[in-house]
Amino acid sequence: MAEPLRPEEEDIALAAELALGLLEGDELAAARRRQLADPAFAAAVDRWVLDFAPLALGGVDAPVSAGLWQRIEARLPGEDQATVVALRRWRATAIATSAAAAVLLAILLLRPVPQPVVLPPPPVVVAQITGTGGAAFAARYDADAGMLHVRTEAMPTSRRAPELWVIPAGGKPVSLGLVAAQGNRDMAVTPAHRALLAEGATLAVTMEDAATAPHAGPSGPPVAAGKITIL
Amino acid sequence: MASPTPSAGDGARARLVHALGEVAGGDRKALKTVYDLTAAKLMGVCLRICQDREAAEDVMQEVYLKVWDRAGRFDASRASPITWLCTIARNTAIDWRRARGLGETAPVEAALDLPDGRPSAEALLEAGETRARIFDCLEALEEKPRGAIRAAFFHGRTYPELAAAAAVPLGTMKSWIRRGLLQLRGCLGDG
Repeated sequence: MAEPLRPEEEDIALAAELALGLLEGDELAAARRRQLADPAFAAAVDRWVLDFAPLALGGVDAPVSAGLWQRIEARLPGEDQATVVALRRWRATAIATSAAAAVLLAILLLRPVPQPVVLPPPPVVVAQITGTGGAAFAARYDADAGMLHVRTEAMPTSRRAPELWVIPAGGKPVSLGLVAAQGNRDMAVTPAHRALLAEGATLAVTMEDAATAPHAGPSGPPVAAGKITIL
Repeated sequence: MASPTPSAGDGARARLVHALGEVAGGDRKALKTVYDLTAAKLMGVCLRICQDREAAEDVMQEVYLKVWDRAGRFDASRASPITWLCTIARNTAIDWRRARGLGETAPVEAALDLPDGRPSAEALLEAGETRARIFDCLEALEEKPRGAIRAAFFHGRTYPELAAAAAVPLGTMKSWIRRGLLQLRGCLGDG
């Protein structure tokens, strides 16, 4: 280089390098860490993304195969949109979300992928909890108040009651108490349990004897489960 | 430029914004509308980066699934809908390249060979794009940094790939680009 860049110039250039995808390996990892840790730097990266973005309008179009839409459509969440739409409304934010795909007990959740073109929403812990038997719950955690808001969207008919568990990654289920057979329930989360409501933990629902809840452990398999995601 | 992207002025932009709003509410038909309005444009973005039609179409599937998930986060005050979608496509295609291992798919000698794809003022207006200053600012750069920055943007190439494609040392390529980026920032302004 003719002359070294000044520190503020280094930052400007680094933000652009990250926005353009010029970096590899350790340099890329370091820049991404900086982006997470330094809001001013992250804003500079966003700014570059927005500044460069219109260039794409100058690119040449390319035809797509006739069957591409069908392949996309086949991968959209199930046709039963009513539950998904209800879940979205209930989340009561303007944030569009991943729709749940009810596959066994593993559930898709919002991925906190950095989206450079929008401002990050305030962190909200959510989970969609669904199962193969048509059970569907949605959970939203208000960390400030220590309140977990759980809405029962659908549940199999049962004389037993739905009990909610949090399962830390690699850990044992811990009961958070009974949730409503239908509708909403706001549950105070004890301070000891709050730290369990973290990204990657699983929320699960089992059907239990209401009279003896909360239980030390579930008595049967979950009717629904989903991973926690932090928005 | 013959383009199936929105081309009926404010009407097309408004249709796209409206459709994204409906996608956010879970409307599949609206996603098809977004697809019909934008697929050729986004395929161009993906194909330039992936350099392989089949791979680009795989990436396209991911792109529209992301649009399905994220449509509610589109903020019309920050970006035009088509550039927002192009950014999602570009990032997804770049992620795909990185996941595959860089350089595997690309004829790197083609990396610097790009059409001069400046859209007309009319096309920018029609897309609702107000941030068009980048075109003038890029134009003001010297040829080498301009070409390298355009290749980085359109082909998703990294420093080492660009250096190899231009047959210059890595440090030379970095120097060209970094000086060009600083000049761009001066031209674009800080606001």
